[in-house]
Amino acid sequence: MALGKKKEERVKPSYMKLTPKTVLLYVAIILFCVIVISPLVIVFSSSLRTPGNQTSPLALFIEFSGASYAKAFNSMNYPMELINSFVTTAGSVLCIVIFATMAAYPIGRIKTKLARFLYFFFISGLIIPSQMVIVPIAQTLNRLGIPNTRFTPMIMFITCSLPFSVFLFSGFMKGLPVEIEEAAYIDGASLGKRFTTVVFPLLQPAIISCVITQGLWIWNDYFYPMVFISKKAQYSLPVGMLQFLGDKENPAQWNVLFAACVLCALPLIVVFLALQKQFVNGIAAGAVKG
Amino acid sequence: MRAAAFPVSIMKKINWKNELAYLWINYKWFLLAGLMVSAAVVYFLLAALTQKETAISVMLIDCHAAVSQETMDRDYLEAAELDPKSFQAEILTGLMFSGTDSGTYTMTSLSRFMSDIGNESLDVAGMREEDFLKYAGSGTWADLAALPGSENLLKAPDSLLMKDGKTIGIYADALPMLRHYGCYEDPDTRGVLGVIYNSRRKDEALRYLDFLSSMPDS
Repeated sequence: MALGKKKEERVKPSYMKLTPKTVLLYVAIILFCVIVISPLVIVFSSSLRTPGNQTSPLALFIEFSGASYAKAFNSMNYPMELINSFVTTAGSVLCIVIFATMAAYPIGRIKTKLARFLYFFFISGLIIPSQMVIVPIAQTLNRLGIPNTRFTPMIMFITCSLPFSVFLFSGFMKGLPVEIEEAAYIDGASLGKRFTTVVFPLLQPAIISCVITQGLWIWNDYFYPMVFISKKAQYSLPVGMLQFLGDKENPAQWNVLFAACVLCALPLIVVFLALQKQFVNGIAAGAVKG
Repeated sequence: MRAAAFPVSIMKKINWKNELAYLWINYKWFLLAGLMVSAAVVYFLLAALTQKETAISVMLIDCHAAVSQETMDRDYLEAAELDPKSFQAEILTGLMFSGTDSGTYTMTSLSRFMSDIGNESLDVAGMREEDFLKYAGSGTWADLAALPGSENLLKAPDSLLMKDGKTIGIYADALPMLRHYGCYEDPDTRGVLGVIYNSRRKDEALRYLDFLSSMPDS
């Protein structure tokens, strides 16, 4: 450092300056994180207890045992239910993405009354919850001869997800530049080629949003599996967990139920960890585009 | 361009392996999606064609059975001398209307109950007496006395639930097999079983109630 010259003062960013406002903000954020994370910690801590341990769940990590996990794993027939859940979720999400993008493409591009009508036709599916019309839906499936199998709920998941997914994709489609498709058209690309090679890759952020939202809902849902499935061997994971819910005669086995919750969430956590880079890139790309 | 414009060495390389590789590189996602859709269609077709005939469909709501559904299915098929390879019994014991704090679970159980009645696929239902009487107002239960073959069940009047001159149900504590399964043991309320009004298998429903009124082997 040359003599006579002052050290350059480093200017702190505004968020690093400890003003009362910043301190209050940090305290609020930490409090919010504690409120959100504490139930997860309690669930995980309780799942590590033996099934008969009835001490307060707020006493965290007082015991480390895999007995609850073993009981949940065996009682639920976990491997079969995991396969059922995985195939149902993956198959439904794949069909939703394919059908919704193909439906949203003309809705987002064609400026006619028919396209507008189709848009509102799909959106109208959001108004009425499917639980209200489950009786006629069940009658329709029965009269169509569709058997009640472990994958029958897929039909309901796909149809109930289409309104929101079409809404999501058509909105995103309208933001995509038409010039890219026009350039592909000039180069001789057919409609199918334009959709698959030009439009579909550009929909990646919306596809990832759809996969995350619908995939999570389908994985955690037990309404349709309970309505359409009768055999225990065909249950999905959420339905299998219900056997640990109790009543006044047979109190709930909370530790086993919490272990079952962790086992049910584990595949999603693994998938997210494996694909988090793609998820974050997709969401970030969408944010930049927006 | 004409094939003759290409050198022979290149033409020799266009074989089925290269064509498959081309298809895979350019159309793999379509192929995979098509495979999955085809697999799903074939699965549903096979399931429809190989489906066993349902001998009886029963819902025991809020029953808290001590045995599994599979045990109850098997016991009935054995007692009715039905071949398990051709017939199946659907006896659901996991549904709850009351006795659970989960409103969603109650709503789902109710939806399952209503959709099976709407489908005309439910034959016998059991629930707590207070819930049973709620559904009696909408004509859910068939008059047991009017069903041919119900004489055996009507022998003990104390075990029957009457409403408006009709015999709509039979109490669970008068059914030894149900007690053997550990069902409806709550001392605060009684369980009642009835035949659904639009059941297509009323004779089978009566046979099931006869089975429940028989003494267990052990």
